Amino acid sequence: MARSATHAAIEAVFRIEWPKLIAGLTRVVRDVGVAEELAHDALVAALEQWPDEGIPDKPGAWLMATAKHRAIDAVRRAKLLRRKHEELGGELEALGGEVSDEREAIDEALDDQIGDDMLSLMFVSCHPVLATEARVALTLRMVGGLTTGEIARAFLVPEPTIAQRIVRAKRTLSEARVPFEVPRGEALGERLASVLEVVYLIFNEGYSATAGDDWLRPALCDDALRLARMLAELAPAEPEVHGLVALLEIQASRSAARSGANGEPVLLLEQDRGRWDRLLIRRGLQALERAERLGGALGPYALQAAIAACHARAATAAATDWPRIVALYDALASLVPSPVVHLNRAVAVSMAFGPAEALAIVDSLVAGGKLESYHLLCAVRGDLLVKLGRVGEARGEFERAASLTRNERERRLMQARAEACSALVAPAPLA
Amino acid sequence: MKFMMLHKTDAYYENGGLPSKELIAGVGAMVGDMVKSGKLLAADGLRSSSQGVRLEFSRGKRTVTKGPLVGENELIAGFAVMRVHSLDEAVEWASRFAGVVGDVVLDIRPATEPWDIGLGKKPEGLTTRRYIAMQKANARSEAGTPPTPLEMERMGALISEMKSAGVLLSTGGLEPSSRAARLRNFGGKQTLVDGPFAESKELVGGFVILELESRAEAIEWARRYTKVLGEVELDILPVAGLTA
Repeated sequence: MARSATHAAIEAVFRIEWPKLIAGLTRVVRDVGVAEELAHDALVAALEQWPDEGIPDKPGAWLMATAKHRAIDAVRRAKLLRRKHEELGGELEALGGEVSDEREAIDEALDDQIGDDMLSLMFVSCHPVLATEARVALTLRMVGGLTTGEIARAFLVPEPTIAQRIVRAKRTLSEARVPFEVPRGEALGERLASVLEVVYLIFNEGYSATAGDDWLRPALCDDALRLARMLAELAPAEPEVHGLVALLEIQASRSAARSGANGEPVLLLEQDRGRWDRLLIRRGLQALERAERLGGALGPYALQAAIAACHARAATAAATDWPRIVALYDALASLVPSPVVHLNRAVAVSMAFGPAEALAIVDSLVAGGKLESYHLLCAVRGDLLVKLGRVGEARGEFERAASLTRNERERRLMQARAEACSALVAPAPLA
Repeated sequence: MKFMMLHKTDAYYENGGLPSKELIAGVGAMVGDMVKSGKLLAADGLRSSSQGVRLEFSRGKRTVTKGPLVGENELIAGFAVMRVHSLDEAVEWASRFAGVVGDVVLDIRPATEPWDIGLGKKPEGLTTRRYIAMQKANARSEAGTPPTPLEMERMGALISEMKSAGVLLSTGGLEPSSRAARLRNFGGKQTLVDGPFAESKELVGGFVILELESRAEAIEWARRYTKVLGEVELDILPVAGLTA
């Protein structure tokens, strides 16, 4: 194999093995930061040796064994606490024997424990002791295997910012002595919610980019989907995990239809449903079934997935089951009393029961004052006013929406709608 | 990037042979790894070609050849997974597809369900079965010629009809073989060849679809997969998107 091809192959092996490597190493050294350094050392060793020796038969086991040898050195060098030293020595001794045996042993140990390790790694990366943006960055780095450069590009921030964020996050975890484990009992629900939230945030940043020129950043959506699917394998008994997978699969199925020929956003009801990805819809509906089969009332993610499924099942926009969507939003609003949920519910009410009823809901949200600077409130209100023939007022709403959004594509869409209203407004009579 | 890995079949399976327990376990573990990594989108095996048909459409004329089929041009340009009541029904839908794209050759074969190979029980009351239609590559698909707006429109209408009839489970188009790679695993030696491929005579045995970072990653997964499958040829094709 040519050298560059070998490097590409090594990079590919690393993509595949990185999360397992980090998870397995963190279990042994109890520190995500140290685990990352060791994994990185193993990569350097692979880059030195594999081009000459070829890629080993079990590259994952090779990397793990190499990293653990470095771990012994690191422990000696850093003179860690005696207790920790013994703990680590014990782990490594237990794996014991000659290098080849050791690799076999590690391979088997990995197979046994890797699921738990990976889940623990997710819980640690999304630990509440970290700020939300730190959780996002750390999860993408450790579980998603993205480089700091890739994360920085995805979030349109300078690379040093992300690097700093990750360094601080690792330090915080270390100082807080966050245990490397899957939470049990009551803590599990709360901690799982944090993991799901991080995955959802990553997806949303890709799906409706809050800043920048592009409306979609598909790589982030893919990463979030991958994390969600991993999670569904690791925690198969949790209905909300499947709910989240279902929601993301169905939303992602629309990616190709969400942008027009010039990259402009195309709203759900105007999308060409022939461009929806059937495979992802199918996967989404299956995940939703899994969530439903696990029993109990649907959680927030499963409810949102059920709403998305109503759209996915409708052959045309006109065939959408709006009354069912309103009912699902009712259930969602009782779980998540957020004004955004009420706003979305208002849109469904408009479709099911007419714009006048919906406008009353939106006006009560306006009066509540909680969504004052939310551009979609203005956009929805503008839509309803257009349907009611009040185009003059609608124009004002679209203009306000355009001034509030940070996304350039969306701003232009809102501006265009405002202008369309202008064309409909009759000229003022001459005095 | 989505990649489809198509593995080829051989005389043993074509003659109705069942996979060994070791192979089922090995493939199960491999597919399990793909699932756990969050990268597997779909995986399916195909029943032997004796249970399928080949449809050849030329200037509006349809020629039906019943299986067993002979491998002629087995390079795949697109696929659709359908849930239908009979092979005849699958043939009708495929003919509608040909009505949109024009001259085309399609193989239709039943998908392997777990109970076909002695795993689990067939659900009671199941009257439908999954069939996989594979569109063979031709000069046009190999040139990467995009569909015309009229074809796009008619395909959109057909897809939406198949969807509302509950027939279409998934569908995808594949990139020309110039962007593909082929991995051969014979005599304990793996050989990788870059596309384009002039021809492919081996019938398809099954496929997996993975969402991956790069072509190099696809090749690495393919290496692992062929080690489990044994003596096999495997095509690695980037998925372009929906068939249109």
